[in-house]
Amino acid sequence: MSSTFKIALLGNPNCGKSTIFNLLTGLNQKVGNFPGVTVDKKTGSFKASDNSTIQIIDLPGTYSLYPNSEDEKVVTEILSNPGGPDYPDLLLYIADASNIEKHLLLFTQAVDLNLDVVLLLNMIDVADHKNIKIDKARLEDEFKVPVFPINGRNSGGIDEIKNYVNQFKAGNHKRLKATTYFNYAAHGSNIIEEVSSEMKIENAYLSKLWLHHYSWLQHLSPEQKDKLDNIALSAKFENVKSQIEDTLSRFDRIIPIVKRCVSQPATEGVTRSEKYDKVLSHYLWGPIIFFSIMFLVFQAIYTWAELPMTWIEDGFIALSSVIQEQLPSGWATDLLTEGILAGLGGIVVFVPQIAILFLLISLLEESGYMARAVYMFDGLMQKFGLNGRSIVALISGGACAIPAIMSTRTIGNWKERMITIMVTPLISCSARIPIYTVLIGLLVSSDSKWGPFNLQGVIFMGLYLTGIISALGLAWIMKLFLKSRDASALMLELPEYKTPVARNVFFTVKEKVYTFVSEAGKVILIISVALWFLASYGPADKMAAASAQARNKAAQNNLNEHELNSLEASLKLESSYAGIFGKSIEPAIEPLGFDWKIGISLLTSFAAREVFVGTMSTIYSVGSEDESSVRQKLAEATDPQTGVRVYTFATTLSLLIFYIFAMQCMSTFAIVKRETKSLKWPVFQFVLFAVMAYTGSWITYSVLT
Amino acid sequence: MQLTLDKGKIGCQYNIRSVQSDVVASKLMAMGVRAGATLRILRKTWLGRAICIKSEGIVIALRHNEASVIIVEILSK
Repeated sequence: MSSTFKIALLGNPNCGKSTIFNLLTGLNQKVGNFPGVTVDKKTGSFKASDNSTIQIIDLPGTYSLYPNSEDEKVVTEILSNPGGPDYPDLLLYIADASNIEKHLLLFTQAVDLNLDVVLLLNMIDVADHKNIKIDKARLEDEFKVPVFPINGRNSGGIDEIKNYVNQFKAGNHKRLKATTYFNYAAHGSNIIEEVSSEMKIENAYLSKLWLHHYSWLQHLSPEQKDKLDNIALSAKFENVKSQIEDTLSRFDRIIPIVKRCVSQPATEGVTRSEKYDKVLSHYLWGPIIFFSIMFLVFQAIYTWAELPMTWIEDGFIALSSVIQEQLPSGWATDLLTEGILAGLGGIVVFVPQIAILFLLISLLEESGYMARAVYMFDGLMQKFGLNGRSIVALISGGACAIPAIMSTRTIGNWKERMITIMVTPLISCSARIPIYTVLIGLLVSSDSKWGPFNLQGVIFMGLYLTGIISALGLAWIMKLFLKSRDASALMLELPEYKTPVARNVFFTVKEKVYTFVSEAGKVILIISVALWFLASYGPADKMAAASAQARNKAAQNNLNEHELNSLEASLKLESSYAGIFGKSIEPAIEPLGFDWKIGISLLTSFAAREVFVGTMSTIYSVGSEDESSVRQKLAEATDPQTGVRVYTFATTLSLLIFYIFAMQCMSTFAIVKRETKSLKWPVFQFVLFAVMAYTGSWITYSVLT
Repeated sequence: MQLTLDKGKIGCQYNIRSVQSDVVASKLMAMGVRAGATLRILRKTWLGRAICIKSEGIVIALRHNEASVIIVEILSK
């Protein structure tokens, strides 16, 4: 066991725990994960007065130590394992001062585990405002723990807590002998004593927790589980009944104490939140307002991110051309500029979108609005095996799947979260727009009409709708096949509306950006370098032959240097490993109407879909990535043997269908790996989408030819 | 008169008599809502797939099937 002094923050959902965590740790925080589960582990630290480091772990919010979901289980796992690495030396229990009674169940459970507990009354300003009077001294006396009023909004009370922690660490605070709230009598038999003596644990409540949860507690050995299983079976232990009795007897103790210590005005009129909800959660206006807000969020990701994204792209281009000029030309410079820098650029370019989405989402989350959205859309989403929260991911997936998939972190149910992650990339994102634009331009001319509508626009919308419908369809199918790890439940507390705390919003944005850059970034960089290698290198003799051929042709046709360069790039790409790949898969993609040139683009556009346009311009040696000139080249492209146009109506539509489905995006792959914490899911997703894309294209092409 | 909560009317007050599902009961209880507590139905979503109640000072959203296991008695219309 490490000797670092450890504090854990514990409390119910909506108690303002993260506000206090952010106040205590400041920038010294990081997010990891608990072993074996996809639950975030937020840890941080601050310096003690003796200059040692005090570690803080922010436990997931839960109502009790009888968990219903993965993240709640983590709390029980840690607190029922006194020898474990995360077991705290001191527990800061955070309760909402404006509703103390409801927040004390878990507190009494922690006290019964014989932990050193400090009770923090958060949002004391809200309680003051509601004219709730709390007798702090009496609370301390009744519960036998130190009590601190806290105002997370203006950090009032934080210094006092740090001071207390320092004193406690120095051994200056004798623990008061706390009463136990655990009612033995409710159990009738001596099953708890039996567990205690068999397991050699002194604490009766710890015995009870082991008896309740042994089937899934990771820290118990198989032998311990067997023993507990035998005890439970022979005593006919009724898990849920015992839990309900325990909870009831705790409230029987808590309620009278709170009555003695807290006085609140009897009249409880209609709160401000209820007034807002009359409109915001209205069965009709609510969804309309929600879609309007989401439309604004969508617009914001698009428009606000555009400028910084251009800066980033231009910056990286400028940087790589400076490097190309300064360094001697050769493979190392190419690796640096076309592999590594291009990869880094591909990572950083997503940062504006991620930052903006999470700025807006955390504002909605912090204000309490998101809980209402979950309530409003849960019923609809349930039909597709999704969660009310999934709708945010699906909508923001229309801008970019990366932040959308990251936003699923708040979906507590494992199955619903996995389905959301799986289907979100099917929603057409902004990176598909350049491809759609070029290809639709080949399909129909810009003045074609479908009734009164512009035909290009109609096709555009059709592509988006196809994506949405297939996302919901896949969700529905996955709902039938995926087994749930925990029961799906809504039963959600809708907190009162409050002004978001700027600090919390800032930390959320920072954490999301950091996670993406550091975790998904690694994978993106590796794939980017690999793709660069494949597209730049090939068998030496073939590459040399390609260069020679380009020079010959240039001499014959009097090409200038620029034309020579793009011709050489085109011929070299054809001879490269990527070109060999493209040609080798030609038989496989021929039924879709694709030739080897499209095959190369399918490979390179895995870096990002929009790379398709760039690769096409290289292959056809356009020399610029301007969409209309690329389109012109594609329109003129013919098969050298047969002289037939390559981009026929059937091929173009088939390719469009392919890009709706295919997961041509290494960044999505990387983020799915990070968010599911396994390689299995992104690989499954990649293969499934490839199959869908292939089938969809094949059907399209077969029907049209 | 007793009925299940999903059949309740918006704006009416009810008293919780019993909860037929242990999972729903234990979760409600952890939130501080026990049998005997008074609740008011604040609103429902379209088609009543979810229902919003207020009890013991907190607002809770429930699914239709979660509400259908809560047996309540009418207190006031």
